[in-house]
Amino acid sequence: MASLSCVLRSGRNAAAVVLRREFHRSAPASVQVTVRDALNQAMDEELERDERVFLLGEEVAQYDGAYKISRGLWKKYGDARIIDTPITEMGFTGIAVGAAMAGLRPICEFMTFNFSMQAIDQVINSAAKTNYMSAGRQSVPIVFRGPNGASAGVGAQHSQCFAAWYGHCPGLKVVSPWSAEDARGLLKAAIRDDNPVVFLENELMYGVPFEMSEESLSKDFTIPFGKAKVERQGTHVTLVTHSRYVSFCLDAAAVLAKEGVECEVVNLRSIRPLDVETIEASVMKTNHLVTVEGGWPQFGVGAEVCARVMEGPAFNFLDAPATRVTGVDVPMPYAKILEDNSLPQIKDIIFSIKKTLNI
Amino acid sequence: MWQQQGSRAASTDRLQAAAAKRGSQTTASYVALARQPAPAALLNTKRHRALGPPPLDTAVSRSEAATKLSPTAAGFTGSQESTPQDHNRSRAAGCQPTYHVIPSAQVSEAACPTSPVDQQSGFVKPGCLPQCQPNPQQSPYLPQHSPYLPQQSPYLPQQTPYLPQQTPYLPQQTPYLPQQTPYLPQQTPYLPQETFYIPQQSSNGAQTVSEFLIGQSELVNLTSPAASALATTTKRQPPKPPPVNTKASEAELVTEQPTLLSDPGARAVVSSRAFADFTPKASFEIKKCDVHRLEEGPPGQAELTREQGLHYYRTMQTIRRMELKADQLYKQKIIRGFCHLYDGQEACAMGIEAAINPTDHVITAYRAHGYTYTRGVPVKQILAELTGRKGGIAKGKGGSMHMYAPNFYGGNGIVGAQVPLGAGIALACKYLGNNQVCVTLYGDGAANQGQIFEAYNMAALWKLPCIFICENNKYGMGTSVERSSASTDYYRRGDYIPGLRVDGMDVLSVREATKFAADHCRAGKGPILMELETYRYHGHSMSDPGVSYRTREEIQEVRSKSDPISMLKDRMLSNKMAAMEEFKEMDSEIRKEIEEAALFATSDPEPPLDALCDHIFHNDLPLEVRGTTPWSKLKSSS
Repeated sequence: MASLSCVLRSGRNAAAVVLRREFHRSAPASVQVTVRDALNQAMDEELERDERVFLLGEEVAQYDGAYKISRGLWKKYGDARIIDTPITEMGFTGIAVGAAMAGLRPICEFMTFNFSMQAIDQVINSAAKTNYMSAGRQSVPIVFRGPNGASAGVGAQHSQCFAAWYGHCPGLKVVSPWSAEDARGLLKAAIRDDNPVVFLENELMYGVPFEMSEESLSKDFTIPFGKAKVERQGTHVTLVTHSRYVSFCLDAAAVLAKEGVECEVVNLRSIRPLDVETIEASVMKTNHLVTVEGGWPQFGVGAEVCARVMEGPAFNFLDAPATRVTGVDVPMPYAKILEDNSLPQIKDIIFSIKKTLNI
Repeated sequence: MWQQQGSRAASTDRLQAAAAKRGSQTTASYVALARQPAPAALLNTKRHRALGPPPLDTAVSRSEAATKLSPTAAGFTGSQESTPQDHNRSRAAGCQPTYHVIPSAQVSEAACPTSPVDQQSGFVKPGCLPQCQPNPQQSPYLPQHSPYLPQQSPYLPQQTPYLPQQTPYLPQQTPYLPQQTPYLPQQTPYLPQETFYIPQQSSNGAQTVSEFLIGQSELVNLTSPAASALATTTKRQPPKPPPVNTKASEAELVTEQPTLLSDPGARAVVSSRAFADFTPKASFEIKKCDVHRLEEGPPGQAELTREQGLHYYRTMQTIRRMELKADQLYKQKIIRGFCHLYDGQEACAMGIEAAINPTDHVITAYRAHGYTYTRGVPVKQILAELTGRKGGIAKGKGGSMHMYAPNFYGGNGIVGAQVPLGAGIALACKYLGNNQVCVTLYGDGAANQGQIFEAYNMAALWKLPCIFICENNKYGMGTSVERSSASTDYYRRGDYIPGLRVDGMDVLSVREATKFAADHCRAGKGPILMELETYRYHGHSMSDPGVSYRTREEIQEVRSKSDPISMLKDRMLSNKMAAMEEFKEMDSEIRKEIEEAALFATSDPEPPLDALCDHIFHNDLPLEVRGTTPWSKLKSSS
């Protein structure tokens, strides 16, 4: 009966729920979990593990989360720990940072990171810089999370990618998960970290299921920051990317594999600190570099990757200049055709790879 | 405006020639011109310099000019009566309008016989405007006409208040130098030659003030009738002066605790005098607070014990001297960057600290040195932080605005950002259920910040134990409260949050109000707002002399009538709660302490370069940090 009610309540991930809850012991080695559920479970487990952890943001409690990431948490933990805030980003971000200074471990959710721009002073000046300014006396163990980057048809003010903005500032750790495993491990690590962490999710990835291994479903599974993951091994070109574009790169790699080009796809996971070693090792193997991201080109993540590779030993291994595939340098338009052409598509990635390889 | 009004006609060669003689028409050249003696051709000219070159195309009479060329005509909205005369009146105060239309050559003398403008040269005829006699000395290009010329500019050295002879802060002007202080022995009435009986001196003679005082106390004991019993006690050795702690330990900061005196002998001396002479406790009337959404405010009476009074005096005087020392060090360029001084506002910091527990929390803005001290950081660590040495409270990494201590969260540079932080700290107090409150301070300048109202909303909604305190020192940098705020009743700005307006220059008022507010919060009634009406003697920061937006008389008036330290001392003296010598002695001790702290702050080494990248993160593994070039890889440890 319990499983039936589970199925009725949560249709989409019913299978995952049932598998997880009923047949855990005899489950197969991997389970399909969406990014949304991975985030939900990670928060649930961390809230249970440490009483100082609490979640605040708009619509996180009674609405179950604007994107349903915090579904069920309010019912379980109540008003004291899952706090609905008014629509006052600067105010509630400051409150979250103050609570972190006073010893709690808040998770501050932004409905999207576009709204974090209103509160960016609290994130940077009050959270990121405080440990340094106080010479270690005052730490700020806080996580800022929310969807980042373009969504579908939401217009210019709701589609900006903040990876480069937050990645610029020392004192912050900035992570950008792709898969459910990334989401779970990185969020747990972020909550357990004593420093301000900016956790950039992606709305379009929330509903995508991924296989998760037994190990990644364990309660203490964390992914260290500053470690990129090579999602696909290759020999001809290195694709460095993060968040949703890892999927695009894998698709492009699959297409190119038929033509005999083997792409190595590096999922950055951490924007700050950036894992230069993995990138350099990969470039030294493949001799070609293409970075793919959704943000604007100028001063972006790709620009930083290229500069770092150029400053390091891997430069001598490059057979062609590094290429950046980025979003178009325009505020995001609304019309579908325009929007689709404002972001990197698989054909753009393939085109860039072929240009870089000169084929 | 003028330049847009049309181009020069070809027939105005004469004026062009004159213009060419004057040089180019830019403001800088006008100023340069003004510094030179006016050339003869420019005599009798009444054009207002700031109006620029005259329009020379149209033949306009004065009346036409009034409509066409006035600011109204140019598209400014304003009163219809904004004639050129009015336009000018606002500019060259006290001078008759010097706006003149220079008609073109087509206007004949016959057509305008009464025109004051000489048709030949295009300039005003001498003697036409009696009030502004065309006198070489009165040419508008000469200093006394234009408000923009050096002598009339408020910004030139001879007019600026920045010169040493004009600043009140130089040694010869500060009241705190020995020759000006009334506290020197030669000014005290207590010299031996004024007593009737000189007791036998001890073998060494009175070496210190306290030894001397002991001598005097023996005098008192012998002559007062009730003390005959005491006269039979053996002669005591002069004890050390009562070491009232300046760096109050946490226990002392709790309300109502007497000051700890380490030497029992000292206590005996003091209390024997107290017993004989001093009132141990007195009750003072304090100003009634204005209230908002409250049935009643704090009580109108405050009790003060002798120990408390001495402790408050010592703390406030330490803050005062520390700020003055910081001022000195800044002027010697030993402190750099920002330095926002707190002198004048000491009663706020001391009153608040007296009313809360050491386990309560305080967060404030950038004028934070006073609070850093009352929250327990020693003076030498504060001064060393200001001078950027490794002995500073933030190891030289933070500076004036970023000093932290247990339960003290700075020191915040962004105006108003500390208020949501304070509400967050109050949220943590409520979450953890520890019955603590958070005192969140901000200024009158910050009181208009939007994020403060966001914080009010959430604090009231969730009933956070937060005391919002607006330190209204009447000026937000250089802008007075009347010029910045539509409502200067800052205690009412919380709207649904109850508020109090408190006299911030009286340490007892501040203490009683803060106690009232803390009780309110601890009772679970939610946040409360307090406005402390106070005053700062220095400017906004060290780069602001503080007299361009307020008069020296105002500062002097506040200093003489409402100085918090003087008020406390006068209260205690008039109620015989302490002797003048005790205050003088405390002053000299504090002076010595500050000197030592300043010596430490100037002699301590700067932080090592290896520590440049430390503390980026907390509790983290050492990481590599990029330096200025790709080859410089620095190390960061937490």
